[in-house]
Amino acid sequence: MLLLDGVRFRYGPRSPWVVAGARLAVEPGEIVGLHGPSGVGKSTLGRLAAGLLTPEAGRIEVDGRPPRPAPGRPHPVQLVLQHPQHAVDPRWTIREVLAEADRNAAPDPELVAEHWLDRYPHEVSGGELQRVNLARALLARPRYLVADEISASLDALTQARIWYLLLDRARSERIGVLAISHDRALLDAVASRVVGWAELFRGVDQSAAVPA
Amino acid sequence: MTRLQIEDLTVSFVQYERGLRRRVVPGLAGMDLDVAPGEVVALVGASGAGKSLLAHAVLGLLPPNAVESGRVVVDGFEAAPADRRRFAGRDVVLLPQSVTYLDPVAPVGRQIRRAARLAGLADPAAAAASALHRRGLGAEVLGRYPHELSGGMARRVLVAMALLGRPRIIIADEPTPGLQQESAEAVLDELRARADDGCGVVLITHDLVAALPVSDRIVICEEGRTVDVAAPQDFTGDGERLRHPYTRALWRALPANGLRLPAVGEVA
Amino acid sequence: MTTAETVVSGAALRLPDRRRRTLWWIASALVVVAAVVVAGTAAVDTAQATSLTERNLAPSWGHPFGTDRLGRDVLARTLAGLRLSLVVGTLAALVSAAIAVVLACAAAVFGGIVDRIVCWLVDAFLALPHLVLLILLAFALGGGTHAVVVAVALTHWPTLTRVLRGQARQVVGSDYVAIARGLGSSAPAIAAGHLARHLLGHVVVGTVLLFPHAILHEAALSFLGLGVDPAEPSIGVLLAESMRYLTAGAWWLALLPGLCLLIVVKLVDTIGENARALVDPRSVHL
Repeated sequence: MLLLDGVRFRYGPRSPWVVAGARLAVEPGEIVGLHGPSGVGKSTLGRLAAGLLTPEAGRIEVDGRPPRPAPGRPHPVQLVLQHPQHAVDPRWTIREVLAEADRNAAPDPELVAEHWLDRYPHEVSGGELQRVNLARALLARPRYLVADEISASLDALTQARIWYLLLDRARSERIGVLAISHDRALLDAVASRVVGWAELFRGVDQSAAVPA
Repeated sequence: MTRLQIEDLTVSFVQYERGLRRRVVPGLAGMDLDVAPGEVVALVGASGAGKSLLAHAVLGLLPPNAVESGRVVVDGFEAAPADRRRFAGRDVVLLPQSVTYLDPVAPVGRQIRRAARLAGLADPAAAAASALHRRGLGAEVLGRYPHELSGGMARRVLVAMALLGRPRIIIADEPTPGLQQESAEAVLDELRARADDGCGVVLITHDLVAALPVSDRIVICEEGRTVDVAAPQDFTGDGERLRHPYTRALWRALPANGLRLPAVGEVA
Repeated sequence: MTTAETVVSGAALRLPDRRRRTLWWIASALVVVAAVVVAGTAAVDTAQATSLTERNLAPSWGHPFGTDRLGRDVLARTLAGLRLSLVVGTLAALVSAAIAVVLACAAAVFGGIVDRIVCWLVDAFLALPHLVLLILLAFALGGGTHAVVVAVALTHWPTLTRVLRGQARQVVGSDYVAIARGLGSSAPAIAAGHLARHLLGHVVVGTVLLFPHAILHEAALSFLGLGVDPAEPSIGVLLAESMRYLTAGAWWLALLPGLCLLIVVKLVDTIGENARALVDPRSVHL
């Protein structure tokens, strides 16, 4: 289980709390939708879950223990972000982008077409690049995946395609998915349960959210 | 009142590969669009550079390595790329996609006042303040820098700047992503109101559902080409009234309609 | 935009191939600069040969740049001087660039207090009057060629550091580096794989653009007597020596060497600006 409990985070000692005591749990193979308006802190929570940010308080546990990957080993929670072009190094070929996750493994042919491998990110479309990002995250063999508005920049068809691929892989590999989106209809269609942002803080003393 | 007609607009870019080898990268491959005064025409399709390119082409804002063909007709007058700048900012206005279109080192107030001056308004400072006020932003926003605005606030500042004057054609490039439901509806309602007032509005968006209530026509594009023009009323049920397979596939793929994918062979 | 044809045809062919012109400029300028260095090396002996019967002669066929107070051929001295200026300028630019790369990367990678110290150093150096600092350093180091190289090297890194720090911070703060960390990439792997590739172009361009400054400041120091050994014919030395004879009408002693220095500096600057056009993403395809 991916567990966030009492997690608090802010960007600086004098900044307001962006995440003020959140509690969230994702079971293996479960698709949990996190719904909320833009800018409220969902992406920050996603980054906290993936270990890219360190909380000031609270605990984050993967399968019962705080994740501490050995040097050179990927974090058990991988992240796929909203803007595919920003998530890849524009000077790397697609092959190199995928190799960063696993040098030896071949990427999933259903996700990544062979003829993309020697291209640069700006030479493939946004939807194709997002599939590359998903493939990269899956190559790291994660236990959990955070999908942060992954299809917000894509049209309806491309969106549907990438979610089918993601859900299929999550099912077969028993990967727990935290799907973050402002699109309630999308979450209702893909998630087994949907949580609103405010619900993460139920029971938390909100007065403690105001900085001293 | 002004009418905008775009016929078979093709835009490609000449880029350098390794060394001196050049190649042509396609952007738009034949876009057709017709906006008459009083209409809101939504341009829907795969998001990415394609649709924004249309806005930039119409305003004559393409980089020097762009190669264009096709016609852009404003009010019956065919405008060559070099002439289109004359319309920009006055008759044809762009409501840009993101906050990166604002000058990062100038306070918001100064930028809005400049827009007001360029639009020919008598009292730029008052116009700026009232434009922000109308959209629910207080006077303190005037002194802020673009990076200090939240996504929603930035979007409303862009809307305020674009609509200050009395433009006759408004090209709104993805005006709603990142906005709360109410703010998004407010922006679209304002565009509809401008159209009802006599403007022509091109609404570039990938949010088909939000565009339906305010649009007169939906233009569907795929791979940089116009493939279908549909009426908003036809987007209903299972999409039976939609003629083009791509349009139908797009409608059925919406989460509210079941997030369905076309069967293999139905649509590319 | 998934397919790109490699055939450039029709309207696209009419677009000027600016890159060809850019590369042509770089190549030509490099050839001229190389020629100057070669000629200067060949002219070293002639530059020192005195002839007391041919003192202060105006330019003629035998001596295209005339002769100086000791009868030495000014053209030979100019070429030798340019070569010396280029060598000193190159050394100083390379050392400056190395300092800039180290400081910029340290500031971007470690952030926090390291970043603040680097920024403070940059601001402090930029706040001090450049020429005064240069003179003080050269003086403190006792003058001479080595002192000039060190003094120029130690005063030209701030601007390049600022530029590289900005680029490095962009890379370090990017989404793809965050994901790289999440994938388990080590800091050296990220630096080599992501940072190096993004900075390389800027480092090369920045170094080349440092040359003109370095060369001109070496000339300034030599002119003031704090630079290279007066026995060596640096352009600055030539200009200093010419001062006494200018009022006597020996214009060729100052004008011709000075003009040549200007041309060489301009050539190096051209190489740098054209190289920058190739690296800057906004102009790379134009």
